[in-house]
Amino acid sequence: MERVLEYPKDPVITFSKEEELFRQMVREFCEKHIEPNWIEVDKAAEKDPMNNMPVDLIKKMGQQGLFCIPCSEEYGGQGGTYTMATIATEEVAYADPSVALAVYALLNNGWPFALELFGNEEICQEILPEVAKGNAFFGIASTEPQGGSDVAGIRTTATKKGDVYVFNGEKAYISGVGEVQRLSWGGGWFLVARTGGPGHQGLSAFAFLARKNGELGKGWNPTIYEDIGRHGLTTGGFIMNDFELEAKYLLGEENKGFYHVMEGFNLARIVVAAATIGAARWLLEKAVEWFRSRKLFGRNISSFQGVSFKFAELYARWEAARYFVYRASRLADKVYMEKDPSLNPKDLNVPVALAKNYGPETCVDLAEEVMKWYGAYAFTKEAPIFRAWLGPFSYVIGAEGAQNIMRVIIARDLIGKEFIR
Amino acid sequence: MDIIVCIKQSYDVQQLKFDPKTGEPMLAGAPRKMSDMDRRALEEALKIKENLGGTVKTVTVGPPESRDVVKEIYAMGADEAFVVTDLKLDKADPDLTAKIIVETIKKIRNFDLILAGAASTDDYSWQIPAKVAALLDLPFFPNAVSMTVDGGLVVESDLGDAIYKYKAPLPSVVSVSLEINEPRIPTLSAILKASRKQFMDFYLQDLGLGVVTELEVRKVVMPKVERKNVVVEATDPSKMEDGIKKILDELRKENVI
Repeated sequence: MERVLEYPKDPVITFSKEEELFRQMVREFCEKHIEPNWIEVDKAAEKDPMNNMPVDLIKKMGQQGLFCIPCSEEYGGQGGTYTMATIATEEVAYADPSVALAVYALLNNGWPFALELFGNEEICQEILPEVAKGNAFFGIASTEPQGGSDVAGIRTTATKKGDVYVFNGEKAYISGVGEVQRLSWGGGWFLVARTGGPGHQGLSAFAFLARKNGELGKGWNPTIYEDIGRHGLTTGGFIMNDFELEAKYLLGEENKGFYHVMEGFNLARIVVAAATIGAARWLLEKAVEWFRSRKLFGRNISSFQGVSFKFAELYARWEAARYFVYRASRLADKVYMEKDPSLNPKDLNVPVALAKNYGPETCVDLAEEVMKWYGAYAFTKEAPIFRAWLGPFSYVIGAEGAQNIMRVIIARDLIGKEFIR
Repeated sequence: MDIIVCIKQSYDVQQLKFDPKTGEPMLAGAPRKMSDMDRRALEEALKIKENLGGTVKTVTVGPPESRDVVKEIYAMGADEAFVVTDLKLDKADPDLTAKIIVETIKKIRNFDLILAGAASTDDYSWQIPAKVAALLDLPFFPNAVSMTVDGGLVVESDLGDAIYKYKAPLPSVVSVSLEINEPRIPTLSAILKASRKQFMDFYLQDLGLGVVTELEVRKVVMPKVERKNVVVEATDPSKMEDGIKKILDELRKENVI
């Protein structure tokens, strides 16, 4: 398919020949299977998210190897780098700018990788191959009804009784609650619960499987929400009433879950930002197409500098966002794949927060401008632009960290913790 | 069955930019990819191998950048890639290209079938597979839209006026069209494994060839589609029938209905 905008030629952020070929192959897959369908997927799932979720498409994406990209091949992963997961997410979001499928992909790259970092071999062998094939979902369940940003304030408890943990509490605004029920194997989340005293030092992380081998766990009661956008992926909540999970599903050390989930968030935020730059690239192309055809007062509307200057400004923001995203993914490669001794996971904090802060806001601001350039047509459901506005908006509101939390991270790391209290 | 597939690394024409003044394509640094029909030839070979066993080897001739196509060749599943490169081969004429392919095939020796795309995505000469067949003195079946090999090779060739079905002997040379299949898209893990595989890298001298006869390109122009802009006026509702008839006549004249 002909591209309206050439992908930037960039001597700073460079890609290997394998990465270039991979991007080309992901594009080809998306052109064939996602671009022609994403609007219908969004429309159908808006009417009935549980029954119209794109299960077949998820399976195809799994067969194409778009999940568990950075995970080891022994666990069914692709054995790729984190940058490769970032490339895939960007391209899927370009093909589906509602970002539903990109969010599915990013969650099932970032969190399975975090599972592999902290989980034991037995559970990695059990869960990761099913996620990789598109038979199971594995995301993040941290947020609770009282809020998401205050991770240290989590109330859900996991009490150890013999060789099981017993969970009680409620999680809210969780992606994948429907997919866990509908995909053939099931799945769950990197879930954070309280195993010790108050504060962040009493939290542990678990590979919480609500459903496995097609069987639902007892004491897990889900609800599906009606979202305003990115309908191809469900959001919901669940209550846990004496839900039992074997102790082997504890991730990392007990009461160190806060630190483990923060590492997972850093990884997931990179691909979140990648999804928004993919959707933003689609929006930029829609703008250029419109500028070249739409005439007003006998001139192309882009001949008005009020329009073209704003476009130039937003394009600059997109290039900057893209730079933040790939710089963060390259750093993640150095920390986790190359094990560069001069770096540690905390070195990702600021670069990742910059990407997560800048990408979603750029995408949503761009979507609003493109809708204004399109005029009244953009306010109808005939024009698909609003779908690329409402979906990415979920990442301005929150998800993998609210925008102001990103600012807190940047300020805290640069100014010093004690100076921002 | 042992199959050899001829594969060209051509320009990605969808990403080509044209000089607005001269209309010439701007080829310096233009992205390249495996030629579309060659990719289908490789897919067809891989399908045959999956059914009947055997090997799939490939031959690529071109400028040094052509080596990049090997990653995709291996990622799709070929067993061994042979590449012949020279700086001047970007503009090699079809006679020379066919000769180089044939000399490389002679080095491979054993084969039951040779497949190639009917034409390359960039030059579209449509000559190479036929020339290869002629030089090897093998039967040639052009523009295959379908192939079966169970119980003997059967090729359905689109020759423009009709689809001809041939019982073909082995070995033969078959050129394939775009319609023959939907090629597989390699996964990342296949791409990564492919990048670790070695390939047979030849220069012209290795094949006893030295002089490159270059194709002279006089001019490349962008295709222009002139619209006819036929306007049929039927403002009076009672004349609507006449207007429709005129539109239908115009469409018939253009052989579109």
